[in-house]
Formats: sequence, C-alpha cells, structure tokens
Amino acid sequence: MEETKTKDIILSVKDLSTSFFLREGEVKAVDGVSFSVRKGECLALVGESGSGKTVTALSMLRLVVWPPGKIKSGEVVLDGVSVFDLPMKSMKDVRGKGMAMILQEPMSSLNPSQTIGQQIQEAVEINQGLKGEEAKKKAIEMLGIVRIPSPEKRYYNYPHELSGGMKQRIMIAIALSCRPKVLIADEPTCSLDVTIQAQILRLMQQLRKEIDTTILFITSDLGIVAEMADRVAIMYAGQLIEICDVFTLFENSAHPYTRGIMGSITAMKEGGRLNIISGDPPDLMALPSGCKFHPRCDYCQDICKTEEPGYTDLSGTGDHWVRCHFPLNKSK
Amino acid sequence: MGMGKYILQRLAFTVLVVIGISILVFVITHMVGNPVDIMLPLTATEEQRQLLSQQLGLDKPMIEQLGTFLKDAATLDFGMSWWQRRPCMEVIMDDLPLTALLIFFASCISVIVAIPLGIAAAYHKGSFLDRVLTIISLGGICLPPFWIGLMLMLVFSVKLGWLPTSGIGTWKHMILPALAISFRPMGQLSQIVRFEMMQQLNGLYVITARAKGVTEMAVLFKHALKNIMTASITMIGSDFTKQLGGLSASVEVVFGFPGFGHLISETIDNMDFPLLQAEVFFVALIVCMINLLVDILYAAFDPRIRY
Repeated sequence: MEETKTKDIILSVKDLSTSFFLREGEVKAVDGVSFSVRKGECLALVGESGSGKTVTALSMLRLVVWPPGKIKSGEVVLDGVSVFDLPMKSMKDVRGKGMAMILQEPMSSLNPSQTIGQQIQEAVEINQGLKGEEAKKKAIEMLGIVRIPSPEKRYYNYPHELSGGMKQRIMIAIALSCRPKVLIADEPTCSLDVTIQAQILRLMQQLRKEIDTTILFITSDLGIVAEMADRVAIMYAGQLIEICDVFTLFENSAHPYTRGIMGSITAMKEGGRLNIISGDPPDLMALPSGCKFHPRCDYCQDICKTEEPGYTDLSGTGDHWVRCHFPLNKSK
Repeated sequence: MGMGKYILQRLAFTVLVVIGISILVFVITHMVGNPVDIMLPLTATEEQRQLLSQQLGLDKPMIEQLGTFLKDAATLDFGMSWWQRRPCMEVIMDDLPLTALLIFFASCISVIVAIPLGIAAAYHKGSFLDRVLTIISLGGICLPPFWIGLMLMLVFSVKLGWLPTSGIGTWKHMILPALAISFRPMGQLSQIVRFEMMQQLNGLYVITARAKGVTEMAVLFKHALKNIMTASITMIGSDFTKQLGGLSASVEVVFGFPGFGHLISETIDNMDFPLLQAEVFFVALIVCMINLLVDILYAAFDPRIRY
C-alpha cells in the first residue's frame, strides 16, 4: 500500500508486525500494518478491543516489552528518522519529543508516589530543556491549559487525590508538555463516564486548534471518530483493513466489516433494530485462513476462505484503500 | 489524625506491650525451674537454700515479686544480676550497644548489596544474571550463619590473614561477623526487592514515564524505587529486630564476640531471672521502636498513607 501524497507525511508505518509469544503459542497482535499520518491531521485508528490498536501504538514507540512481546518486522519513519534503526539508548529522544502517548487507563497510568506537578515537570524538563523554577512554572501553566482549577495548589497533589477525569487531564498535560510531533491518544476517554468523556473530547479539540498538533487517535467509538478525525484506519484481527477519510467512512465504506460497524449506528439512528456483526471476534492464536473476516462476512466467497486479500486502491488517488476481494460500492 | 498524635498513641501502645511482655516473661521464668538449685552446689543444706531464697526474694508470693519487679523496671532498675553479681543495667549496657552496632553494620551491608542486585534481577528477569542472583540469594537464606561465619574466618583470617578471627576492639573485628550476619537478610531482601520491582515495572506508570522520554535509569531509580520502599523497609526492620532478639547469637559465639545474643543464651543457661527480664524488656522496647519507625517511614514513601 503506497500513499501518493508523500510530501507532508510526518509519520509512516510500514508492514509492522508484533507478536506475543505465550506458552500457548504465538499471538499475532499486529500483523503487517501500514499507514501514514499527514502533518496536522487527526488519524483515527479504529477497531474492536483486541484488534491490535494499542499494540500498534506501543510498537511505534518500541514500548513492547520482551518477553513476551516482540516486534517482528516493520519500519516506522518519524519525520525522516527510521525509529527501529535507532539504538535502544536513543529511543528516549523519539519518545516524548517525537511521539508522546496518552494511555487509556488514567487511574493507574500515573506514578502514585510523585506529585502530579513533578510528573508534568519531568516531561517539561526532558523535552523542553527547561530547569528548576522555570520548568515548574511551565508545569503549572500546563495544568491551567488542561483546565485544572487553581493549578498552583494542584501542582502539589498526588494522583490518588484526583478524580479519573482530572487524572486524564494530567495525562494530556504530560503528553502535551513533551511538545510531540505526533500525539498518540489511546482511548483517552474509555474509562470515564459520559459527561467527563465529553469534557475531555472538547478539551482535546480546543487544544488541537490551539497548538496545531498531529494526532493519532485510537478509539473504538465511532461517535468520537466523527467528531475528532480527518481520516480513519480500521483494524481487524491485527490487520489494517480499510483506510479512508472520515466522510468516505460514513458515506461509502467498502469493507464488509466497516459496513457492519457503521450499520450498527445507522440502524439505531433510523430507529431500527441494532445491526450486529454475526459471530465472535477472532481468536488471535488460531486465525482463520484467507481473509481474517471471512467467517463473519455476509459476502464471503470461496476465494475469501483460502486466499488473503491484498490492498485495493478504490479512489485511484491513494486516499481510500481496502483489504478485501470484493469491496462494496455505494449501490450495495 | 496528625502525625504527632499518631506517634503519641503508638508510644502509649509501646508501654502496654513492654509491660505485657515483661509480665509474661516473669511468669514463665518463675515456672520453669528454681534458680536456687543452680546457684548452690548439690551438697547445700536446706537452710542454705532457704536463706538464698530469702535473699533473692523468691520466698515471697509471686504476685508480690511481680509488683516489685514492675515498680523497679519503671525506673529502669532491674536489680543485681545473680550470675554476674553486678547491676543488670550495667551488664546490658556493656553488650547491647556493641551488638546493635554490629547488626546495624550488617543491615547496611545487606541493604547496599540486596537492593541493587534485586533491581538488576527484576530488570533482566528470566536472564542468566537473574538466575545466578536468585541462586545466590537463596543460598544466603538457606546456609546457617554460623557456617558462613566459619567459612569467612577460614578464608579471610586463616588463609589470607587480612582480618582478625575473633574478639573486639577495632572496626576490623566487626567486618567478618557483620558479613556473616548479613547473608540471610541480604537474600531475603533481594528476593523481596526483585519481586516488588518486577511488579512495579509492569505498572502502566512505567509506560507513561518511558513514553515521555525518561531514561531507563530514571525509570528504575526515580520512579519505581520509591514504590518498592514500603515493602523493603518492612523487611529491613523485621530482619533487624529478629537479629537483635537473639538470632545473632550463633555468629557471636563463632567469633568470640561478647555481644547481646551471646549474653541472652548464657543468661538462660544460668537461670539469671533479673538479667533475663531486663534483656527481654530491652528487646521488646527496641522492637516496638523499630516498628514505629518503619510505620512512620511508610508515610514518607507512600503519600497514600496518612496517619
């Protein structure tokens, strides 16, 4: 899969495969994923839980821990730097300044024995080259930016003294303090209740306008995709199965799986019964042959069971790729 | 509740514990045997025995003896040692500081060695280094300290002649006994540190730290170390009190070190009730103090703990 518009691409991932080698066998969490992110855009990485979104992000930062996890192949190029070719020692320069990550569990993602101020300040010191009082001032400023009330006091709070929504704001503040070229947000709202979710999303949208950063937004919520994303990459069973802009996703998605998950919203909007994709998510240790989606696919043909589909460029301009033998078109 | 109030409450509790232990020891020692039989030769007459009983106050009812004991203990007066024939306080003050220093020295060695080793093993879990370190620490736990002491003596004193075999006087006399004592706590502590560190390194906050560009050294020592300290100081404190409660005796005997552990075992041999009671009093007091110190340190390392 080749992207034609290469000039403003800031991050490209090619053929990334990461597996976990467990006693029971190999789990192919990420299997040949390729995509690129353009400068300033928000790309949403969408898929059900266990489809490999988080592992993709962790692999990009080489944060997969061996044992049991291992990056088997692939190439990640961030702003001209090939990340996997760097010695592990230099990864600290890619992490933070290059790509910063907001994790999905705000409750346990902060160090319980350091104040939130210290943890933001550390990101400032490492990535902005500030020291001491200056860095502290900057950290307090960041607390204000993520709309924490009375930041000078909150600087001295420990994580257990904050609510889940507040902790997620701290995580955002830490990630933003790194001034990353690409901000990876891994389901930043998934463990929060709905009102707080809306607050965090609004905050992220405002911040995106204010600081004009590139975002890789990992989510399984299509509502969030509609609000946040410019383009969407859909993952299924560790593979990227469709990538297109957000309008195409809602108007003209081509993969039966994408149609399936879209169908579950449109049906609800029209007041019909909830359309669900039949069958269960695949077992990553015993993946089906051929197309990974074929056991659940309504349009499955013989070739789907034996031969793995390649990528088809539907738009002709490299903007809409789908991994399917029989991509659907608008009329279907 | 404030820290000051908490400490006062614990100190009050300590008084109760020390009184309770003192009564328990008093009752038990007076039930196990008659010291008069040990202090006098077999040929002593009944009158002589009764006279000595009277002198020692053993002829009075037990409850009265207990009352006198507690009243005197409150002013740190434990009377005369029957066996050494000088004040118990004097005997204890000769030996206790020496052993406390020895055990403190041993604890320092164990902490300095065990924490880096445990961290290294956890960081390289499953590696060859991890296995070697685990075997060594298990060895430290399993081998009897007196045997380790003898082996150290054989190598460093007899073969190499670097250090004295026994006695006290200079800091050189401390090295081998302290080493011999330190092996077991070292093994235990490094296992605790390894386990705790492995848990911490699986924590999500470690990913957060790495994702913002923190170096591996800072992940271990700036982020994770503080979070393993509560478990570590529990272990260090408990090892220290165990050694002080007489576990160091075998090593002290091997090195001819006139310490507290040695003293306790000889006191029991001689059925020297006043001295034994004084010893137990001090051990209980120090154990309570160390536990209090450990509890206070918890709050220093873990902000979620508040008193």
